[in-house]
Amino acid sequence: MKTLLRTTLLATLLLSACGSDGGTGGTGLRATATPAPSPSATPGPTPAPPTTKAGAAAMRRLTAAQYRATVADVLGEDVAAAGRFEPDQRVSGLLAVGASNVSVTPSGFEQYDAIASGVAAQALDAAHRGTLVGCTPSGPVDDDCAASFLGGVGRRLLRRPLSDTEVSTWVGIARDAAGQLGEFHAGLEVALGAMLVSPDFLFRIEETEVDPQRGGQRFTSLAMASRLSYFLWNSAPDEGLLAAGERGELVDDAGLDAQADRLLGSGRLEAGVRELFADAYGFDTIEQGLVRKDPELFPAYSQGLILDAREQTLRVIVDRLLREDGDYRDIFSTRESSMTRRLGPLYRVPVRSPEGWEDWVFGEDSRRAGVLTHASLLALYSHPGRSSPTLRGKFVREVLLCQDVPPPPGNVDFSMFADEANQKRTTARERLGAHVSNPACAGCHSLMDPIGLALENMDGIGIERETENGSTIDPSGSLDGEAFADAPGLGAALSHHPQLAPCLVETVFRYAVGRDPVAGERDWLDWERDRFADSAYRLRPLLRTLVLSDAFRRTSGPRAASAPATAAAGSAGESGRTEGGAG
Amino acid sequence: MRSRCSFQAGHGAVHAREPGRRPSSVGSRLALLGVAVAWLAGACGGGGGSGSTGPDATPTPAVTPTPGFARSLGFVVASFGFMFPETFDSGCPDGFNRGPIELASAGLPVPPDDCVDPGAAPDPGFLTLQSSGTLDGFDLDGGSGADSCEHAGFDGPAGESGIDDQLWRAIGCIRGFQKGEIVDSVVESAVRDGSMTILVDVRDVDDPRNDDDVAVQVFASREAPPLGADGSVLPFGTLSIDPDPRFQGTVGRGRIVDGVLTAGPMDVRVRLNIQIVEGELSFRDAYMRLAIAPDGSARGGLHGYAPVDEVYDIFGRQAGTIGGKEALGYLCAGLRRALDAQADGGRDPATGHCDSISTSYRLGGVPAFVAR
Repeated sequence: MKTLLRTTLLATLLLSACGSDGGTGGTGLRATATPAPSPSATPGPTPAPPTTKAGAAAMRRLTAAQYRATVADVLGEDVAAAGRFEPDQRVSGLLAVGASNVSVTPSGFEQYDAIASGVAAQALDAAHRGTLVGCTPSGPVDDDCAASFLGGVGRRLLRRPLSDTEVSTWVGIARDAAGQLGEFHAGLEVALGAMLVSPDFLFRIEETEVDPQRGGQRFTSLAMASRLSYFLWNSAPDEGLLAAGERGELVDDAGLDAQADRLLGSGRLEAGVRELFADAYGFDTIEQGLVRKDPELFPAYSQGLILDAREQTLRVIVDRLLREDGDYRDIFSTRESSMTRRLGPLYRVPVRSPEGWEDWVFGEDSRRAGVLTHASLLALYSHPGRSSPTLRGKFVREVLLCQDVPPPPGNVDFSMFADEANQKRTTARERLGAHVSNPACAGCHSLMDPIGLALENMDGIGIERETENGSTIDPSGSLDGEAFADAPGLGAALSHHPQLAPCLVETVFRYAVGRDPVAGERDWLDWERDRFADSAYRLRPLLRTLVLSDAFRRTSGPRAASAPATAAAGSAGESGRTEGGAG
Repeated sequence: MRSRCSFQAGHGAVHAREPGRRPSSVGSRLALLGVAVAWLAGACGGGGGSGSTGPDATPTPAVTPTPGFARSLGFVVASFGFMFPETFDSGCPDGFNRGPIELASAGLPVPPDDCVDPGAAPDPGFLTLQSSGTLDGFDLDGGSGADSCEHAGFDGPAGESGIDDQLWRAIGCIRGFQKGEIVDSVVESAVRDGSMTILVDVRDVDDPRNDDDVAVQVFASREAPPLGADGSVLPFGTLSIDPDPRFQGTVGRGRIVDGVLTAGPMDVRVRLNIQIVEGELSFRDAYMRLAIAPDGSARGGLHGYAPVDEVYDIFGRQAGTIGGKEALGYLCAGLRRALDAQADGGRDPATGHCDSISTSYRLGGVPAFVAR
């Protein structure tokens, strides 16, 4: 009954949210002409950043992680958003960019609706309603109490204050439902469920306005609150940030500076950084249970194992980049890591703690150094039944160095590589060597394979091995002129690579703004790369200069309307998981 | 085999001596068992678990100085059960014992039985193993130990005599204890599912292939070994020893010759909590022989004296009262009397009565980190 009521009401809501509230129609973005007060700009860093002609604004659908985090932050940590979400889509290597390119399909809406029903039911059950609702209804219908709850929770969920008209609409939904169901909280549940499937919740609709000092378009102070929060915390703005946005402080240099420092100094930054790297590395496929292995070949592999492996990598990143405020490049060479009992057999190391995590440092004689030698990436960029030097190399080229690797020609013959029973070519190096004798394949494989072959001492799930099919594995190679002997050598060569740090700058930028950079932002990106180097490749300064930049704050305006991509399977093709060759 | 555990001399260390308490060296004993050693070395390789975590998993022979785990070899038992004599088929010329259901089905009277107080029930008669057979094990009492009771030994695989396993002589004609039958499969599962986790820790190891003096200790663990997707015990897991000192065996000294570890005597006590049977399995003056494979797995046996009361408590009083005698095929009154009759250890000089029984268990282990 509640679902039926909500669905009936939704058509009206969807229309009103998308069309009657200042929307642009084409993209759902809302440009307003009301400038927020803004004092003169504070001096920028030295040298001054170049002029930026920022790219278009976008309407971004909440990712599954953002949906869950927002619900937990606003409605309570123990309110779970259970269910299968409309799949996020990876575009230009990032789900964050894909979020700007998706709508909601009819079947996806059903999924959101089911999840919203569950969330609303939990939030307003007997255990939670007392804390959340904050007033005692006088009867099944109590508009004042409903307005108090829906206005407050709506402001947090929709990341903006609700107008009186909007509050009245939501209260009307609750009133109608309560009237039919005979119970006040049941009415609120229907209204809350509807709010959770409204476009204003599912999409980050970023308003722009004319910059009164400099002309051109900028994001409004409220839009900046969400931009900052979802970028740095991967969740909705907290009360302090939302209030600052409402007061117009986030279009002010000093106000933005203060909030940026607060967010960057918060422990919640960890969630944002974890999501940034999880997105870039393609860890969503791990979370979704899509990284599968042949149990006969890899009996040690399990979903629990790969989830621990994912967490291990993110812990190293967070420890090095946030807790130690260290050099980004070190994550590719550090021997420091963390272990669980479940990971111990894979790495063949002792783990004293039966539960939880403990520190681990790989010895200098170990083949493990840096995240490239972590089971997470090794298993993710492998096939179900064997390792893949090509996939591993492609990941390094595309994700870590931001280099394009063309897809393989359509008529490529994989048979030579796939023939693992070939007694003459027992190792991947030998098989790939034969495969790339085809000139059509050689160009790209010469980019990818030397990198991946350095990791061949780790099998398809990351277990160390000396041999393949009885032949000793040779992990030596070179990365763009720097020779290495083994996997740790590859990590060292990668950490010296001139493209490594600039690639992170570009990746973080694309993640932050939800799109690829435009020509007018290239000079700024170059400047930002220099600042990253000046800061000894520390992440916090990079994030700080980014959120204070025109590239983050200004826009050319709403993006031109185009056919939105619908979320669908096949995003793996964008994640570097297409083979690009046989290996 | 990569060494992992630091040496820590355990409490109650006992220097190696011969089975039968003869002061001669273990080396002379090994000479006698040379053929057996060669057999073990050739037979090893599986260790009971998969011994492998991936298709190209390779041994890791280098020693790492991991703090807390250096100079040691550790194993978690992944396969465990009775050591079956090779000439079993001829051992029960009158067939197997019959339980209540089998007796009734045959139209025979079912004698009164009492698993809690088996002495209170009349002796129903009990079939025990008659053949000497061939069994890989130890002459635990040296053939005529002063604290032993009269018994007949088995022959060793190399023709040795006096190999002791009176427990099997007592229960060898019970259907449910045979190879592949209920008890065998239940116990085999118990070491994998955490019902009876057994750890073997070998310390003072300088050379995992040949070392003339190592310390061996067997522990119970309250943790379940890590299992793979195929149900096998994964190698290189870490398991904590039982914090209760009663389940931390005494230290036995031993040696490794061409990858075969022989050690003892030592006392061992492990927990078992199999379904609703909960008890302890202990071994006094136990010896162990393990053939260590290049992949770090091990295979061999644990041999020692088990208290008759403990053995009966598990197999008779507990198992019998929950349907074990029907499922396995015996009567408690007969089982208890058979165990008492075959007991060959812990002889009381005053009464001449023995209260423990020689036992031989096979075990296979996969490499593990034994966390103390």
